[in-house]
Amino acid sequence: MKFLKNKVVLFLLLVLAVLYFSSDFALIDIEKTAIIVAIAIDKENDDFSVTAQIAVPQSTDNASSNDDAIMTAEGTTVLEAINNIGKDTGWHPKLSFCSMIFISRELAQEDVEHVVDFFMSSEKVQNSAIIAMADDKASDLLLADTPLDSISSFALQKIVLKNEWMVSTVGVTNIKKFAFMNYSKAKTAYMPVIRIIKGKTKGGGNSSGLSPTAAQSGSGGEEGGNKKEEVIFSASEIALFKNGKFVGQLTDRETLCYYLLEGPVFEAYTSVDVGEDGYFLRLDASSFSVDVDVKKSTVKLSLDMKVVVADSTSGADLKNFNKKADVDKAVLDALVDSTESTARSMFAKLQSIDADLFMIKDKIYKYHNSLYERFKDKPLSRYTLELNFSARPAD
Amino acid sequence: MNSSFEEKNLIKVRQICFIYLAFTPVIKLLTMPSYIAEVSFEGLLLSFLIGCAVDALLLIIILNLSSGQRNATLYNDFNKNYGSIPTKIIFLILTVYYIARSVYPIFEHKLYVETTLYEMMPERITFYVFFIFSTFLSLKGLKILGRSADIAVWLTLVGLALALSLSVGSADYSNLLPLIPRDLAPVLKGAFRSGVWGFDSLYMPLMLGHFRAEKAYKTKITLSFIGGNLLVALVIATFYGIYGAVASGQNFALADMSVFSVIVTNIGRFDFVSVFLLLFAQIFAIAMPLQFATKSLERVLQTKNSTIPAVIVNGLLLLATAFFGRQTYNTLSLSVSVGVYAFIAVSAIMLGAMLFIKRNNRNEVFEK
Amino acid sequence: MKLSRSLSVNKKRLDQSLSTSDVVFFDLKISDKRALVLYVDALTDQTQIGDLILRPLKTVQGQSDVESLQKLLPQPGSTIVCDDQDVISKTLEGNAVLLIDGESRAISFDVKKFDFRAITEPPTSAVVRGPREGFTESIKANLSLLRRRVKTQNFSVEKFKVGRITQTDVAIVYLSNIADNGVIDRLRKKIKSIDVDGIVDSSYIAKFIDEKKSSLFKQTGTTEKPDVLTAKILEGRVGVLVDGSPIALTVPYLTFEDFQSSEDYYQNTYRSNMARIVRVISLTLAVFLPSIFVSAQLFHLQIIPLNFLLTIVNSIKGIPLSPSLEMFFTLLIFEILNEASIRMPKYVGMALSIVGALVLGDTAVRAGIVSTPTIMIMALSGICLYTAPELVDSMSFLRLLFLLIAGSVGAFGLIVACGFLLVYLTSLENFDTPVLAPFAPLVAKDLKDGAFMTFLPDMTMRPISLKPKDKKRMKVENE
Repeated sequence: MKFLKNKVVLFLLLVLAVLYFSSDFALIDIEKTAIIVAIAIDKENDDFSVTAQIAVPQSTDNASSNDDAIMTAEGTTVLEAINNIGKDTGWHPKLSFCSMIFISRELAQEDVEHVVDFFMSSEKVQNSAIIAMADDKASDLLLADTPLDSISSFALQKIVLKNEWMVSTVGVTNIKKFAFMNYSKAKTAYMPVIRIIKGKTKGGGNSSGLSPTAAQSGSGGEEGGNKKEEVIFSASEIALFKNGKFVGQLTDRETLCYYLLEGPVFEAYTSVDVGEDGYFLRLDASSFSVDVDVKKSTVKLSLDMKVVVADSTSGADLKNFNKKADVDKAVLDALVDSTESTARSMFAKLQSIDADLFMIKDKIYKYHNSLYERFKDKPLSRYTLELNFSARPAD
Repeated sequence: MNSSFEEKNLIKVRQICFIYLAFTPVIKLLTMPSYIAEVSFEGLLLSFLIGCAVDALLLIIILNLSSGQRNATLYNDFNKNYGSIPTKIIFLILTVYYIARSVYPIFEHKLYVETTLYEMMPERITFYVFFIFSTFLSLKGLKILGRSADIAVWLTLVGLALALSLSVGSADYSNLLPLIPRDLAPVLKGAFRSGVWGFDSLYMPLMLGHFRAEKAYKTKITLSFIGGNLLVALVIATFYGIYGAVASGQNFALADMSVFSVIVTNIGRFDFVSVFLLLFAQIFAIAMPLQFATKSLERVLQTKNSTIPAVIVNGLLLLATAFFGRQTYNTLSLSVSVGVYAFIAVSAIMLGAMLFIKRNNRNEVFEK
Repeated sequence: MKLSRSLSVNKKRLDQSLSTSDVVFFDLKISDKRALVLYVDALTDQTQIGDLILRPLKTVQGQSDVESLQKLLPQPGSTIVCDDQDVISKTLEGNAVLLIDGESRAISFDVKKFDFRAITEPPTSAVVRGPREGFTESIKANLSLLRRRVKTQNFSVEKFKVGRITQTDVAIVYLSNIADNGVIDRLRKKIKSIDVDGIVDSSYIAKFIDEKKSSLFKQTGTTEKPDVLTAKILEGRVGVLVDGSPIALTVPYLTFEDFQSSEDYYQNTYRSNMARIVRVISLTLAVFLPSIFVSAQLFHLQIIPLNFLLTIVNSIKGIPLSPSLEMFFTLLIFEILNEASIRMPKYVGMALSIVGALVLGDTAVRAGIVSTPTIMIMALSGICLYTAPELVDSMSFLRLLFLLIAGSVGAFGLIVACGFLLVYLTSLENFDTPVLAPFAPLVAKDLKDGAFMTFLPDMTMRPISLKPKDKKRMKVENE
């Protein structure tokens, strides 16, 4: 028996050694592996065109060009297109590091449900990958040269991939969240719209995040003869989807308003005008709610903002403004007025396209289940809006 | 034979509790949540709890029926009351039950390992190394299983704590509302489906007589059984909190639930630590029914040597995995339609047989 | 055979048996009788022979029988022997044997003199704080080191002679009021049953008393320090000392012993706990790091953070070996260097370090034969292994085995192997004590000195896993 046991152990060790030294045992050759960090999906006629950005060490080096790491292939499905990338280049495409997925506006208008379904069902793609809509062609985002990073998707990540609770004007959605909202009772989902801003840098507004260094590199890009124009990106608006189809878009102020209401947002920035003076404000909106009164058919949005004046054009002494008592009531009123009017315009927009972005149907299902059957088909346009916004100086 | 077998296989009440905390719950963490969610939706927690309650009830009944014969093994008891042949038949049924009980979890773990742990679909042999382990475990007694549980319980708890701590932040527990849906039919259907992973109480009969009864042992075992299942309930709640309406397609969410955490986004797949810790406990959990099947078959074949029963049991499962291992979802449907009924039947047989002995013993006491 | 009354006959027989040139046959006369002193030149103290035996014998007048002479020569170690086999063994042990014509008995005098190494700090158990004494190769010296520490009548020493040819002195030491009788009886029985030509070192004894002969893992504790052995005996263990070996054995053995250091009990408890955690983590890294690194590269890229993965990809570019072969050969080179550095004379050690670290390491990376991360992983694993020096043998083998498994079937194979290891170790027992105690089976009370140790005054009980007769080691104030 002991002899047999030793033989078995010896045999197993031998098998193990053979397996180990044969070295071709369903393993991955890293050097032939395309580590895809972002993909852009466009619709070309009836085919999908997938542009993949690959993290290869040379490309992460500043000396090399972003174009070195881009591969494109077409297919009748997304999976086929991705496989064709491997077929055309000889590399094994690996999606486990893919953290960003961009879809073109054209595809969004057609249908993104099956694209999201593919990523949701695939075990090889993390459901935490961010999904965003390109303002135009999705591949343009990956092909763009940006001073923010030698790899465009890494630059885009810097804009989009932030701590959700600290987001000011960027609406982040990942694959799971999009699918979750899309298949909810509301059947409404959103994703950020990425817009390319060419060449120069602007003060404030959309490009406020650009650092002076980045701005310099940006202008430097224009000087180069054959060099492509360097661009920066904006992601301050969100695109709305109903049943997986693009139905509308919120402006940047509406997007901010939506985020404040869905919060918590501990740090957001906005500007208001009081008379001829402009004020740039920092908001902390940790008290918020979206309620629905089913019987009265009312949607009640509540928001309490704590405000600090960060900058002003009136030449006022900021030291005083930062003190609790010294934030001018007129500034606070102007902020409440402007936020309320943004909320109204946003709600009206949602009503016009019947996009249940606040997931009212889900709220009815969860908290007033007995009434759900009665109200499940009631369009958003038949709800009235009730606002309870307030603003006060920060503590 | 019996006395030496019992001596060799002495297990402690604490270790039985740890088995119910560390091993039996972890096989319910893979496809079960999504599989129940497919029919029960937000009622999945209720479905699972109903299944658990039935199983806990079964366990309590088994423990109470056995209390008269604290130091006798099930085999000795049956042998004394029914004679050799009926006892062997019952043990053969138990052998088949334990084998059947292990089929789906093994298939499901095979698919889980191949699809979530490996970048490319690995060769078949990758999973087959499990059978070397399960055969080795089958050769050992309950004592070794108990001692392994002494260590594995901490790994399971750390793994679960890590998985939960990384994923609770992304979960919206309001997705579980309404907790009690108006239509209970899908909930009951879900509870029935959970039976494929249930009937853990049927491990208990084979452990009877292998431990020294101590104070409140029935309560301790029952509470740990409930505790283990409550941990699973917590994972299921978090799972549905994260995935909500898309939960039904998320078969191996255990390996994905944590990816939405900021920590994972920032430092990489740190969550794999919990995946590996739980997988460690899972390989014991899916090998456990094979060990029990081997012990039952030992009784049927009346052999002291575990080698032949272990090779038969593990060989059968190896062949089943080789031939049917890739058709997991078809097999699951079969398991649900046939398996759960069969498991209920085995439970009924076991309870009936034990009840009969209990009544016999009581009559004997009265006669005395 | 019994000694003859004739000295000539005895001398002839002994001369035939002890046909070796270092045995001295010294003829002399006591009164008028012929006599012979027999001793081994290298083992005896000739000054003592002269002072304690020969000089007093010169003064003897009249009575020269064995009893009278034994009384005349007061030497505590003297014994009377009647058998020529006893004469031979006494002589070879280092005694001087006096044979007298007309007497069928002889007197053996203990005049042993061995040259042994001075008591120094053992190289494998150096401490910053704590005793620096280490065992030597002399069992007598070792017993004296122990006796000096344990001054109780319950300290028992049982001596055996093991080895048909070497006749090595083996002693088991224990506290009779604490150590489990079952363990003592079993050990006694096992040592008595050893039938081998020779015992050269205590590790020979260890191999005979191990329960599973073919096991990869240690089943007996070892120590070179008397303070450690004393502490272990106080806990209820039984020690084994072997003449000619500076390493004492202890049974029953618990695997976690090797994660404990004597210094843990001498220094600050917080620091000791930190050191223990570091040891556990280090050993885990030592065993698993190469295998996890290889399996991650071959099968599970997703578990490597992206930036680190890019570094790896960058560094392995152009390396002719696959990650598995690369790690295997690096491990092989490390083992060769390790083996050579132990055996190599110290004066070439420096050269070896230069060749090993610079030529093989740096140049291999520059030449593109191995990658920097692999060298780093191997170096880290190699250093970590030595945080528990007693486990180096088994752990370095496990590291290799796990590397083969990880390179063949990836992380799942590794997990299954860990399961296998756990089942194997939980079933491994020595002297009815599971080696994984107090973790498996869980003995909650013993965890006071487990992965975390409590303050020394709180360790009021002896480890229950060792089944001591007297479980209490400390008087608690409020009792």
